[in-house]
Amino acid sequence: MRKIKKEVPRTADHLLRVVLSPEEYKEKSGDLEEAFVSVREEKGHIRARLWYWAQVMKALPACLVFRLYWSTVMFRNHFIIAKRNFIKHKGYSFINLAGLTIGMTCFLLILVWVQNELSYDRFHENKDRVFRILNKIPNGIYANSVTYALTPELQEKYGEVEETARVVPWIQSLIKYKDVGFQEDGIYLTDPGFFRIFSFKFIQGSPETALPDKHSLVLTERAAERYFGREDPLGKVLHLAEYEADFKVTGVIENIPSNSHLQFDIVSRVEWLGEDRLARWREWVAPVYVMLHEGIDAEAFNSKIAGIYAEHYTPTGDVEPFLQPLPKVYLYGTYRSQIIKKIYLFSLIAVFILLMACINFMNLSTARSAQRAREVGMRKVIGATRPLVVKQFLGEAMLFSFSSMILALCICWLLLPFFNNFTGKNISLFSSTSITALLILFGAMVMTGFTAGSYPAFYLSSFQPVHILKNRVSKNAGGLIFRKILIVFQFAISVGLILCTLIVARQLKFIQDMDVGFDRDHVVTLFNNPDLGGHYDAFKQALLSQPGILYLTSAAQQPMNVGQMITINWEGNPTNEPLGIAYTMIDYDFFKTFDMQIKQGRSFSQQYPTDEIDACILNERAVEVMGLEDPIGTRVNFGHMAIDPSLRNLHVVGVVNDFNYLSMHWESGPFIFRIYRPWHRLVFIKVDRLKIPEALASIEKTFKTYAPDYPFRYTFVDTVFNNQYASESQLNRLFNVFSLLAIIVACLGLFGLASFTAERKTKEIGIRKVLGASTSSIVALTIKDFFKWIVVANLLAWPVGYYLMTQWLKNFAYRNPIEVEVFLLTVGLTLFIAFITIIYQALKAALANPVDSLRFE
Amino acid sequence: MRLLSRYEEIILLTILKLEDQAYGVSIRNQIHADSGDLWSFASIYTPLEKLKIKGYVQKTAGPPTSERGGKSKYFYTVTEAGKKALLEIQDTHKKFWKDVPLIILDQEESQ
Repeated sequence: MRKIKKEVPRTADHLLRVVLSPEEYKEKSGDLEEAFVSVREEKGHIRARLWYWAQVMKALPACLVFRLYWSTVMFRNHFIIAKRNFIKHKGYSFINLAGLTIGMTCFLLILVWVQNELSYDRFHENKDRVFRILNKIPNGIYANSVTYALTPELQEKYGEVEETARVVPWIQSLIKYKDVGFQEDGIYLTDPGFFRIFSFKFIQGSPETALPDKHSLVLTERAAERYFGREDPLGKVLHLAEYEADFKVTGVIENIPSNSHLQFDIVSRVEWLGEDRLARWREWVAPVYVMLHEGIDAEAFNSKIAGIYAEHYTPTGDVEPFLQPLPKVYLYGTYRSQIIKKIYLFSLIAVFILLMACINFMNLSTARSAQRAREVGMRKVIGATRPLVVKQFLGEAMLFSFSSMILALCICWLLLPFFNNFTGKNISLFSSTSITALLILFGAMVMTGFTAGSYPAFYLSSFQPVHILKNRVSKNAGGLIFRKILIVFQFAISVGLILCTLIVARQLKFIQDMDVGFDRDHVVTLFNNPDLGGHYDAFKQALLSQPGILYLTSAAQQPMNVGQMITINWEGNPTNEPLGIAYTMIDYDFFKTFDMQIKQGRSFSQQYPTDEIDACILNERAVEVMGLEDPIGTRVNFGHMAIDPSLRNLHVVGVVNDFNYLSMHWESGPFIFRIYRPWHRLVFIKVDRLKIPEALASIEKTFKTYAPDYPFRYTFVDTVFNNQYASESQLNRLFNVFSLLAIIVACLGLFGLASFTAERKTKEIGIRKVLGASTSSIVALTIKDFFKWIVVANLLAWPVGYYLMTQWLKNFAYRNPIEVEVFLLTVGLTLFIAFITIIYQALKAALANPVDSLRFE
Repeated sequence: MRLLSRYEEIILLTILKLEDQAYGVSIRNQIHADSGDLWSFASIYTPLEKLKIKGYVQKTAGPPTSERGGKSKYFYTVTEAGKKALLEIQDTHKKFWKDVPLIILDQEESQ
């Protein structure tokens, strides 16, 4: 017996087993084996095997067609049943479908966004061996500006380095070609190695021939079109007002992809910074990128160059270079407010919302499945096998989740333009970066369909038909507990999201309302330029005589965005240890413009002509840190390397109040002001809030008189301030949207479950009413049951939400503490929402005529 | 009523001839013996399946047999409807043949 079995070709036999139903297989393979034996006796083993194969192959098409025919018949039947069910229970079905669709839409949107974020800078061919060099400062702080003397040293002395590029991304200039001129912000200064490190695609020219000398430029397609239209840009000459020099176009590259952290239109050579700045070891100029040779261990190389600064100057203040891999540059930045955290956060929310939607779906499907026990019984009596019933229920759930996915895709497609607007991205649903998102969604769809369908499928199909038809199946008492746990879980997620939303919103409000130490309202800011700077005093006088103009000043930076620090030493410093201090350059009237208080001494004043050479003003914190009893008159050495040595010895003329010169993420520290007009990049004008339009008109007119070549562009300082928190307010808005959606999904689930319970309790309520219960007591009874679970959900969600938000708040130096009222508000809100959701069902059940309900079933 | 195909007819007749011993292999062998053609199993099963759906044959499992690797034989029997269909096709054959000119038949016979 065994012997025969063995000699039949196994693969062919297996094939039969696959295409035929078990019974058919038994018959056909039996017949074939019997015939096989006789063929073998006649023609030998090999011929017999061939014969067997031939028989199977001949039978195969017919078998497949037959099988397909029957499965379509059954599929059509299942499809019809599913459709009838959908129509019969419109409410349930709608809730079910809507919940899942919302969940999937959120999931897809977030996922597409996440994929887009993760795709940053991955298009560079050499991304795995390109690094940005950061300066690692003690206390876990990183600076993205590093010493520019570093790159020649690395190129010459370290064989591991293949290429380096210094990148100065902060240049602005008026650029002219014939009679067209544009004020350009996106000008980079770099080394020719830039294009060998980064794979920006050349349309004209090549990485080898680009940027041969100081007077060469590379443009993006966009910028080239701006100046030359359809003319051939190569070899054309542009004039940059900033350097008062002509530049030849040596290459045109494709527009920079939106998922690049480097965003520029025009590139020239870094030599424009001047040889001093490039050669100075102590000045941190701007970012540097390196490309290592293939196979070099970045970490080993990093530790090899750790002491490189100490070789050139001491004390280094424990600063070390640190190699950051290119793909991490965008996601981690300088490790302050990291995008990667946001990505984790939103991925978590996405998964939660999808999970909620799936739970909903399962809940409602299970709740309904009890009603379909009879159908299963009938099917089984007629001859459906258990696998067939399983298949039917799984298929139905799959059909549902598939429709949801299609709907979600459509909605996403419609929503993406708004979503892009919202997030400031340019994401499309069907691009290469979104493929993964779509695949994950597809996987989620299959999983949802399977999990949601599996409970009814496997549970119901296990019943004995006799029991079902005799109504002897206990109506899943265990299932109810299970569903309640799911609902609690679901609500806990919503509660968590509401809690987080409230806390984020409160913190942002807190920041907005906080006293930053200067008044940023009604201050107009414009870019200074050589023409204007040359006639600054005349411009100031001319403007101040106009209506609506209160004060005018200029400075090197926006007062709330000062990142640079220098080290100073001062007379009477007990330790003689230099102090790291933030600084900026300002002009007369700065403190008036921003309404800052002079606490001691005086402000800079034109009455003292030497103020421009040797005066400085400290903030209160600086006085405290320096331990000065009487700060006025203290001699300070302002050690900025780029400033002429004759201008480095200052004395303190005044003390001003503390103010927040960085974002709220950081505590403000000591600060020093001085005057240094060559660096005054910005002009600030305080205008009368009642005469803003007139003031703006006169500013423009005066600006045009003094700098006719430059376009007039202005912003308000408070706008700039708010932009600084753009990512936080974006977070806030996204939180609002997603928690709203989460709440909707949770409510849909609650509504579905409430109506289901109400229906099941119809008889109970009827009896209660007959025995004299009042409507209100019955409503209270129904609601109480649900409230209990919602309170449990709150208790579960609080600690998690509290923990997460405390972590988030740690990003801020100034935090609004989480108070009890937030929790009370959350519980109140959830109970209210739940009440609204359930009350309809509860009332409906309570108001029903007991006669009808007792006749029910 | 739709007529039986020639294959179905042959198979039905063979089943009847084999009485209670009609299963896949025996049907195939009988057809081989009667017509000289050795059919593939596929060309037996396909009409058999159709006959089953039409309700002309009935399938019953026999006891497992050792010669078939422990698998049961499945025996086919012709139902009443099947018999009726056979008679009908025979009748139809007769009707068709009746009006064919005798000359052709003569030629056929003389060859």
